[in-house]
Amino acid sequence: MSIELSRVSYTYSPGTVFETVALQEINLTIEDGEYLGLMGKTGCGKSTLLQLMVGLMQPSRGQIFVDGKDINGRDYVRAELRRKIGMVFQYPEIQLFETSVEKDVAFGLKHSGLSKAEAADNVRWAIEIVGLDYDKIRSVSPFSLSGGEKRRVAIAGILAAKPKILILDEPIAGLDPKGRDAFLDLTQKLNADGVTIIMVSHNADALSKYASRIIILDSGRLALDSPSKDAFKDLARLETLGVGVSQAREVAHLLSQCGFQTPADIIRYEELQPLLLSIARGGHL
Amino acid sequence: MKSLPTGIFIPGDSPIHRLDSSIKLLALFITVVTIVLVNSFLGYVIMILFIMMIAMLSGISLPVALNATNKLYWFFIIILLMNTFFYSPEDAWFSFWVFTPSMTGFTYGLTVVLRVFLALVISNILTSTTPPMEITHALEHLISPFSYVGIPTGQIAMILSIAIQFIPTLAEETDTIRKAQMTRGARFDSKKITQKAEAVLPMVIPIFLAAFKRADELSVAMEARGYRGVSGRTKKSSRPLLVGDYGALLIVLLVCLLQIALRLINLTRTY
Repeated sequence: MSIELSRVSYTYSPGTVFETVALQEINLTIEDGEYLGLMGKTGCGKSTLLQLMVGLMQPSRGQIFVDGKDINGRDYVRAELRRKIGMVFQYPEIQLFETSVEKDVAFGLKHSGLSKAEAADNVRWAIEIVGLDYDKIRSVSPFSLSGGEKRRVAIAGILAAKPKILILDEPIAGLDPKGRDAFLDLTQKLNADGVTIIMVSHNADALSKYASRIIILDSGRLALDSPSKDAFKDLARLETLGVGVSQAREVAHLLSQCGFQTPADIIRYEELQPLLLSIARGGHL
Repeated sequence: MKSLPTGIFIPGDSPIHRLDSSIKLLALFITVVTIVLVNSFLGYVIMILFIMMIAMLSGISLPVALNATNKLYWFFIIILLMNTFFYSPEDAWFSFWVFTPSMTGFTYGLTVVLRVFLALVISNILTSTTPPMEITHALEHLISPFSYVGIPTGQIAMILSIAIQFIPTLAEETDTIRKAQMTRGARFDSKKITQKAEAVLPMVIPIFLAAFKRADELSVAMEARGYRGVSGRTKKSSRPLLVGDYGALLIVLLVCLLQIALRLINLTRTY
């Protein structure tokens, strides 16, 4: 389940006064089972990149291969792509429309070719994995739920198809800390089960903790692509790219400025903690 | 978005862009009335030249100015054929069943097509050179005299401007919802009519809900900022009418008078 982008460019409204280049010459390979964090300031082309990967838009130039097949090729079956890739949009709860949670989650399975029993199994699995009580919630109207629950139901509706690649566009925006952690843990669990995760977020703490690789876009170009522990080393550069760093990295940086020896690849709280303790005990100077 | 939608505002700094929007709207109204008044060959030539001049002044490329009529070719052809075959049974070339083709009908059809064509092009130039909000302000300005007879013109203008302002937002939301449902496995390309109707629901329900939610939030926000629906609201930016504005209106009026004069000279003509 790899995604490969080869010299992909995208221009909005070409040939008009509204022409905007969103992506330029992107080369990128995403391997099976990766947990990829995609960052960059607003308007850098993140959403465009995601939509190209799921085949909602066709690149102006270049090709996109999923499992070695050109998804914009003439004989490519789109339904195959829809089965493989699930996409969680920003505020996914707007997509709810059915009269019951169960029906809404099952909506995407209508054309999947699964038998009734299989589909029902998937629906139950999806509702339970997002942390909801299937028997309690199945026949409730999705519109009577709280905001956080609505989002979980919407995400269950995407997970029900058991996609092998899950693309998430700012999925934790507007969630409370508890809901955010629960959701991020869910992505980690899915990733451990072999699902490739591609997540757009401005939350450097979340990506530092969960992602194994970070990609930063700047004005439609690939500005940085590295393992997450190396991605946040050059703070000055990240500043110009409009990307924040995790609190742990920030503290480590401040400590190094105060003369303490701190490695530049500390990005998680768990990595920072032993260092802080040893400094507090008076060593490390 | 492959090509520009018809009539979308194209930013620019031409004399037409800079004109006061109320003057522009008034001028459009007069021009469209004038187009209907024209009944001579010379009159049409003048009108076409006049509109071409405006189009050139506005700096809008010809294909964009003409794209209002892109999808209307069939309409034009049908109008032309209907007029040719049914308009004038008296001087028909021949008569077959209900069909009575005549030269009078053909020329009349041609004038109808030309009038619609010209009116569309000139309207298209207005919307291409004026931001939508400006058009609603102009409308508010022009209908303001009706407030003396108890019509809440300020509120009508507010409703219009909110409606116009929300078109891009709703369009964007619709697009997101369509994409979200598609990646979930919804199919909008089905041939069967029942399946087509079924495919509409996952779109329509979220769009309506989003629209109601927005309307609700907006009304609360407006109230919180002290909106009470009273008339006499001032604009954030306004400028007095300049010589150029009066000049433009004068030119349009002159063209209109010229056409009236031509029509009076030309009363015997039937088209």
